[in-house]
Amino acid sequence: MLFNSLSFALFLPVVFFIYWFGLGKKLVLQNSCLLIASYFFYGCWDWRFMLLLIFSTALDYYSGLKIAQHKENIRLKKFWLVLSVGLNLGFLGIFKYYNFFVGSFSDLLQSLGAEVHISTLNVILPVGISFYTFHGLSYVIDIYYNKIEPEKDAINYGLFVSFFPLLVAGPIERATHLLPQIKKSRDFDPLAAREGLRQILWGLFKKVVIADNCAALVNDIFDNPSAHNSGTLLFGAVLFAFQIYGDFSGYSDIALGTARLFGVRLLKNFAFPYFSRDIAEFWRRWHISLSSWFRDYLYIPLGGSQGGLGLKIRNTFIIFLVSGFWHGANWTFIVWGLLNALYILPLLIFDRNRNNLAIAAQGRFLPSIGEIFNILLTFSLTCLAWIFFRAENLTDAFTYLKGIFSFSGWQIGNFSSSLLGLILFLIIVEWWGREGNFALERVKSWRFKPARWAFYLLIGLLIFLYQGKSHEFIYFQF
Amino acid sequence: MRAFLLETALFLSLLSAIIGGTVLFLNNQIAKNANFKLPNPQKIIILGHSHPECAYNDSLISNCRNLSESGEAYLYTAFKLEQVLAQNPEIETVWLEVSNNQMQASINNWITEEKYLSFRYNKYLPFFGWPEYALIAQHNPSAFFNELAMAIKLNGKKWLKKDYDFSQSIGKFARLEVAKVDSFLNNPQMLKPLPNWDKISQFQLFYLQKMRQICQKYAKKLFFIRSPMHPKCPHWASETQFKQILAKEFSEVEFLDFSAFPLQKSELADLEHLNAAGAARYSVWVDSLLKNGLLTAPNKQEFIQNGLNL
Repeated sequence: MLFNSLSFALFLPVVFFIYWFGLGKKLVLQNSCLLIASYFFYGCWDWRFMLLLIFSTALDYYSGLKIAQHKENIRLKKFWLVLSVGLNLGFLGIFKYYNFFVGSFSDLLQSLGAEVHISTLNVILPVGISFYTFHGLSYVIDIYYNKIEPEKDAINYGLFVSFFPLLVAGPIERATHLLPQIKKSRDFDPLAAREGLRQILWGLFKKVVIADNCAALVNDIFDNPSAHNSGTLLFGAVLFAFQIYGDFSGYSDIALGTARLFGVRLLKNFAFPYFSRDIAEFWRRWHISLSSWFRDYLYIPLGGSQGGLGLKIRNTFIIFLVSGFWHGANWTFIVWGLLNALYILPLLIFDRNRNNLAIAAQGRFLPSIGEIFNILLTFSLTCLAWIFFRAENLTDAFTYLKGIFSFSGWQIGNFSSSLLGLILFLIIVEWWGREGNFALERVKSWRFKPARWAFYLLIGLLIFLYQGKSHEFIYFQF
Repeated sequence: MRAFLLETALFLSLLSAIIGGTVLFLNNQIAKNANFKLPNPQKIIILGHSHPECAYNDSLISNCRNLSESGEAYLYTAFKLEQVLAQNPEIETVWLEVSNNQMQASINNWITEEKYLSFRYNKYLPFFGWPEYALIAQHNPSAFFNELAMAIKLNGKKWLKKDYDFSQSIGKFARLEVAKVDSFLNNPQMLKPLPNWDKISQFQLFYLQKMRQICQKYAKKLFFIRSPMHPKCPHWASETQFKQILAKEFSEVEFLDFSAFPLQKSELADLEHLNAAGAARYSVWVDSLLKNGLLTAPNKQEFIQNGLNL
């Protein structure tokens, strides 16, 4: 059930009405309603993996209780943590990485002259496994470090893991942030609900209009890079940057907006990353929930920034390599992660990785020349890295790069000028709204109501007119 | 809560009204100004799907114009026919391809599947009535909304450019230069009938009735025709049902069955389409039948049979 599908358009109001009208505002019933709706939502994707979701949920729920129970017994406390983390990562490893490791190992042995016959698994990747696994891991780790108490109510915990807006592609929530909201009674807040609808509208624009319309051109260019000149290949890389941004941040906006309809506030996942003035700032603004997860559960336990520059660089490289690997079982993602780590390296060495903490041109309408230059440079570096992210394999990625740097002509092939117009519209609206939580948040401050409505109707009309051929959200494959 | 729900409902209603209003306005403009006037109009027009599209080389048949199009369901043929007859009074006779696969339920995909809709639905949308909107909305709602969006963009451009000419895009003879009968005969999968071959398409039946009424309305002589097919073509599986439907529903419409016209393997593109060579020989033969009085013969099928025997 995609967010931009008719079935979701029917599902959401039904759940909304039952939640607010049909349950007498009783918290346990509201949470049960959301839990059932969430399992139904997940089941629509693939009911076969519901058992895995339920098992993972039960494992972490029980492990959390046991870790807290054995607070004083370090051995047992650690045992339950290792069991939970081990099993969760084990499932993730089998479904996501088994074939990669087996294939890579086999290739290595064959390159050394050995004859190898290793079977691979013929399994489908369960939707959302990377996301809900990390939910559960953060929960048990937080209990282990006494940051939170375990949740005794199974329904509440089940809802924390499987809340449908974030179930299949995040944001990766923290128990410290989401569980208290689940446990608190919720009254309908019309302002929050309107905000939610605003965010859903903008999310749909980014996904349906930008991402889905870029996808067709991007697929054509990336599927056959040798048939295109340098200009078209460069154009393809830029289009993919907008596709993945529209797709993922659009999805996140819809998820956050949907959650607000039910009185729940999810973690912000994107903060206008393409206006970043350096790569460090980019990674503070892109997929924030994943970056902060790795910071808190990997970077800091490894020593973080303490212990000198060498350790800081080592830990940064580890984070980016693991982050690349999290995205997929392919060498392209590892190279993508490595490239981003290399980008950050000079900033770490010269201690400039925390220079740009506020948004570009904060409080001003236009950026300075220097800021424009830095934004374009950062965007270009990101586009270069995205080539590896998008390519099917390293050979294709290097063929693509070779094509760009062959300087074989700069005339861009067939493209739609209306798509460029829409991308320009996206950039203008996002720039104008960059100081808010999402681009359209600022519209609520317009005093003239017809103007606000005309703007919303314009976006609604653009979504209707430019609905591209529907593509699955890119991050569903992770 | 009440205010929130009312505002949301109002927003959705306004958006729907804008979209609906735009579609209706553009449809009205297109339908009012559409030009279906054929250059060099002829007395006979041929309509149908890919079978007649590839079979009738109208440059070799006197007073004839082939307006067939591949993958065209009768839903579209009916509205095309109405417009063509209304704007081309010179036309006297309509030859409408009615062959086995056109009556099979498997052809309903040509009406409801998105890949077929995108070829024609937004083009003929200005001429449709509410039943045609409901037909697609009911069977493929997401495709329906996609097509409305496409229609607004396509028809919007037409309206802005005042480009209402349809006469060049309503079908013509298609030359096929291949001859692959053997590869079809050697592939058992290609000799199997399509799914639901034994069920009748109610959609096709409905619009076939509609075309009969259109021809009556414009006082044009309607003939059903069947183009040649290879004896091993899987569509023959439904011959009994096909003949029953014609006898039961269209007994008063004359059926010119050319399907037994003998063709060499080199004259067929596949089991159901003539290639250019086959179309040339076949079209010359059809022309000779017409010149010898086929349309005025008392027993036309006997006339055709005699023509085959010669």
